[in-house]
Amino acid sequence: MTLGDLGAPKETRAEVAKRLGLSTSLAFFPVRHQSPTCAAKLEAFLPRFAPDVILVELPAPFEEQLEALLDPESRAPFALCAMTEGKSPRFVARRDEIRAAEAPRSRAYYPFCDYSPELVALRYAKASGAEVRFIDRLSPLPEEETDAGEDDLPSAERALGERLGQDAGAWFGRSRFTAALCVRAGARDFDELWEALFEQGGWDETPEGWALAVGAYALATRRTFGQEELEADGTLFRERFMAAKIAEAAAQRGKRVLVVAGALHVVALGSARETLAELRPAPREDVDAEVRLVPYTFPRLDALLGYAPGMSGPAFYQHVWEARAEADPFAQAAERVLLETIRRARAEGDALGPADAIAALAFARELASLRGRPKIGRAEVIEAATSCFVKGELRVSGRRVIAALGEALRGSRMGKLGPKAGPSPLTRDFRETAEALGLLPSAGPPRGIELSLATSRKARRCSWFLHRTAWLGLGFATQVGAGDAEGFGAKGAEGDPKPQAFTTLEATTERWTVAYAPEVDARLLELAAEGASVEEAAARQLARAAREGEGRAGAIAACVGRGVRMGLEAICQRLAPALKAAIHADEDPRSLLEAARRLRRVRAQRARLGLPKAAWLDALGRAAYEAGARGLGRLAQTSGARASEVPALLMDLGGATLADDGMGPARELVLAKARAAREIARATSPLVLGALDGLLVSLGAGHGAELGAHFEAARGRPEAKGAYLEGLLALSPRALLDEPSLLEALIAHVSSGSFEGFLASLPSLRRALTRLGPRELEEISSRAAKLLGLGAAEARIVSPLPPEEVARLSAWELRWLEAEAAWAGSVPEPNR
Amino acid sequence: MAESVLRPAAEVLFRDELDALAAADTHPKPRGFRLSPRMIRTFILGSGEAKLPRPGGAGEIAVTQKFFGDDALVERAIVTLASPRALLLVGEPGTAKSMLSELLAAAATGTSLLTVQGSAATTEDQIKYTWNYALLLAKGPVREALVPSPLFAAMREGRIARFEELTRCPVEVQDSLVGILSDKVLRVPELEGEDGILFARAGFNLIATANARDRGVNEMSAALRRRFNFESVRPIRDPRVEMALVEREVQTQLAAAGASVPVPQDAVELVVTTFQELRAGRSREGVHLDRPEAPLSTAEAIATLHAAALHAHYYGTGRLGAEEVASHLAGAATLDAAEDTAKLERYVETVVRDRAARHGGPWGALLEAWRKIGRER
Ligand SMILES: Nc1ncnc2c1ncn2[C@@H]1O[C@H](COP(=O)(O)OP(=O)(O)OP(=O)(O)O)[C@@H](O)[C@H]1O
Ligand SMILES: [Mg+2]
Repeated sequence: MTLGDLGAPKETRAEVAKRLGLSTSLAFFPVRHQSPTCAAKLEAFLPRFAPDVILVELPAPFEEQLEALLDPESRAPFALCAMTEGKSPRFVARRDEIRAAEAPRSRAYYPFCDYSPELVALRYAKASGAEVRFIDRLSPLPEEETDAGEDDLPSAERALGERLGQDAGAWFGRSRFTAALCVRAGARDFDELWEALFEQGGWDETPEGWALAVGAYALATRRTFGQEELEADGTLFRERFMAAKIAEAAAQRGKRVLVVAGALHVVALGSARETLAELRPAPREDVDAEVRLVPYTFPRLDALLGYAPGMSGPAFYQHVWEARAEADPFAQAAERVLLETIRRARAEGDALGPADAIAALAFARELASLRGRPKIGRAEVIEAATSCFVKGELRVSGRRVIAALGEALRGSRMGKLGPKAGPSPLTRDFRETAEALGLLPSAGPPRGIELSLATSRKARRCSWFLHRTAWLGLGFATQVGAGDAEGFGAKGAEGDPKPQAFTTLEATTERWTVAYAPEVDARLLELAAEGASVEEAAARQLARAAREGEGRAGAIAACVGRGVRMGLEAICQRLAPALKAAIHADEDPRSLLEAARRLRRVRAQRARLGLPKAAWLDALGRAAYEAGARGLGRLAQTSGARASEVPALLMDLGGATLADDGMGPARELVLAKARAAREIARATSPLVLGALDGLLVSLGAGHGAELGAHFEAARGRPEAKGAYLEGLLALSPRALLDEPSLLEALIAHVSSGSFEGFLASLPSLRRALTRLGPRELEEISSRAAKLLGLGAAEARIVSPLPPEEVARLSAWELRWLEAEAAWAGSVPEPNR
Repeated sequence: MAESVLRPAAEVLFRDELDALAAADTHPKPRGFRLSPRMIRTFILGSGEAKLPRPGGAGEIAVTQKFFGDDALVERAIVTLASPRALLLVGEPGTAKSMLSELLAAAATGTSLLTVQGSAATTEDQIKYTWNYALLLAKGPVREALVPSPLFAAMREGRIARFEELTRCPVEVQDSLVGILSDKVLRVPELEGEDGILFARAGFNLIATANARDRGVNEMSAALRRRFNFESVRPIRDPRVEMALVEREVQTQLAAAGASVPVPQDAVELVVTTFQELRAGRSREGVHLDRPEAPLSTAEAIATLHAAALHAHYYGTGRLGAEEVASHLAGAATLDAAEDTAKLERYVETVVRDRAARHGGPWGALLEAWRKIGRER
């Protein structure tokens, strides 16, 4: 299908030609924002039309940034970022000295790359001396989602354009006219249709022919929308403003005016050319937005365009643009992308070579031709790569190729700003915030800071800021005594049997050192494209880290914890669906319980800081605990070194169940699953079996007689008994006291049976007993003595044992001492 | 049409369509092909509203759509067939891999019958050639004594050969394809001179299919994998498309069986929705579901509904209702694993129950029928 097949009736074409008026002194050129073909057509049209005034569909307040935009030392992509005060502050702001740190803002980005028609027009204006005016209102744009799939590994399905049931959301995408055209053009959605008709399909057109075809399409589309619809979404409001701006420019006699604006607008604006003279001048825009030019990146551009995330192909388009003077820029771009894909996939270990590139290029060409498309488009490149490079099932074997392809299409190009743009907003934000919080030390030695989070709101804000800078790796702040990788303070580290033991004060006091060094600015420069503020950059990187967790619940939960510490609860809440999905999909109970434990810590930390309860957090924690509990059977299959992590996980599960605080799992569920899991653990790991027994006991559902029997039955390896006891006591330290059968079994093991057996089990027994406190130990030894028939006091004086037994015991003791000397140092520390 | 045959070959079944397409074909054809890629596409994906003149001058014919749900896949498959590489269709059972390969072969080079059926017992002879031993003894190794394999024949005649279930063959046997596919030459060392070497004529290519659940394509040798372009065939994702197809197929099959049972829309919707949701592991309301082991393919949906309809016809009221659907659903999901029954049970007791409570209608009827069957079991 080509432009000619659009099927617009002759009258429509004539009407469009009249509205655009490309040969009159007020011409309208339709554009789409990031479109290499459009940019090339406009570039060819401009010198021929030679406008005196160029009117561009950009918010009028952006005009002040024109110099910066056209700085010859700037390199695209860059974006104009409009920052407005948010309407509903996320926390109550005290308008005092820390204002900068807390001003909640919404940001909208207007990105430009070399093939943005608007930028082409502006650059032409600068070269030719034409006057430039921006004619749009600054209307609130949807805020860029920080967690949009910019670094997403595009899934195989999406790579092949399967977006069933998803509508493009945008104007064109919504129209029935588009839907019908898609069917006729064999396009899967609006993006592919646009590409087929106007990018690859429009390249060989003249600029006027291209503009007419786009105009005809736009007019037909526009006719499928009712006036009310256009009024409701603010389109007509904006167009009235634009019309007034156009009227002002057109009033200058003898000037040739060119309007460069979205296709759907120009077909409407062009129809009103006769009535323009009657319009009142446009009101001045009073906006309280701050506008800054920021560097931008291809990955972010890619996410913004949103064609099958990761596949919208800024780099592909850049290649087309750079080859625009040559015969078939699309084939060249396709070749570059395919070669780059092979290079990247090879680096990851795929056996692909130049022959594959040749095959894929031929494939892409044939596929385009079968589809009646005159040039190779993005869709054909993607499909050529998946068909020719993936040697196996796409889902299983396609990961590397798809990732490589995504990167090759997307590119990693990062924009740079010339001196006219001034320091980057990120640098400015960092300084303003640090200053406002009183954190900016003179370039002297590191300064210590202590923050009591529970009592001071300012301290909390400082903490957020410092955590954010640390996360961004600015080299500005270091937390002191943050032994835990999660920064909850030195105590409460992994495996600590009593994580709640540290005091509230300790938990809510943070110590930091801050120091300013030039490296901080260097790093800020590196991060300039990550956002306009420290908060935004941290949020973006956090969202990325969560995606890199690749659906593992534990990893995403860690990000949630980090986000809470950075005061980025909004992002954390946006991670909630991903975490929820990961909890559903994650089949590893270890990762699930780990995630649950992390979430519980986040909950505890929030509670200590006096933050309100968060229902979303509780729901996630509960889901993770319950999914983890359902996986206890699988957990029970763990043996060997990994089994040693199980008691801590179960301990937390037990604690959460008992807490019954909305986050803990249902007790019945845990009991049922733990009982079932015991059956499995019997055969795999005495440690895990003990821990499961301990869990049941701690939940009030253990049976005394069972414990003794399980201890008895733990054989096989010498350390089995100790391991069982260790697991049990880890969760239920009083079991030896409360369950007589267990103590009896222990005594029986110690006092009968071979010495070798006893000796071999000793290290693990000792490790198990370190779980107990001194009082418990004392009580146990006195009971043990009683069971052995020794009175606690006289045991050492009078031995009721026959002489042979005494001799045997003293021999044992001797060898025991020897053995212990040999073990010195090899006995594992109880608190790893 | 060869009506007495249970299942005629695609080129026979659709002879009229193929003839009409050939007559109307003005696009360039790859060497050795009967139809241009565009016409092959039309043959498989249908001519839509458009009709083609019948070659004999007697009226017009519409080309029916035969494969549903992934037009781009068909286009890619056609492009591969016209390229030096062979095509490997891989996917879950019942996703129409065999059907697609048959249609492609029939349309491109006129026959779908040059087929090797792979299995653990497949030998290299079956892939290349064997001998007529009587002739071999009488005359020695001569051309007439050679019995060509389907692949041999395809090379000689410039046609597309098919290889069903390639990955079921032993890897060494699979590897006898490497030489054939890379050089497009088959050597017969026993024969002398020109007879000892067979150059494939233009048009020759190979379509293999592989079941994603079998010993995987990952076990294929790297050398052989390089000779193929892989296409993953997946179950149809758009429920409306799948419903339309299932309804059409069931009706065709019932007509062929001489059973006149109406197939109500509701029954189709119940079966297809259930299959789709279990396959995806997620209901449309977002409820997380355990995926059954049994492949709940479109083919399985057709078979389930067909069986339910036949049951209604022969044993029931002649009406295909919720009860028949319920009992055959249970059968479909429990073919493979006992656990599947539990998964289906859970699906009914969560998703179906919810829908029954909220909307009643066919879902309510299904729930009721399911529980009734459960009581009888
Ligand atoms: N996408 C589809 N379009 C049309 N028919 C389909 C589709 N998917 C399944 N079917 C139906 O399913 C039937 C089964 O297909 P076929 O036997 O070709 O599957 P297969 O993938 O080869 O399965 P197996 O791996 O078991 O050999 C087809 O004949 C057709 O009726
Ligand atoms: Mg098959």
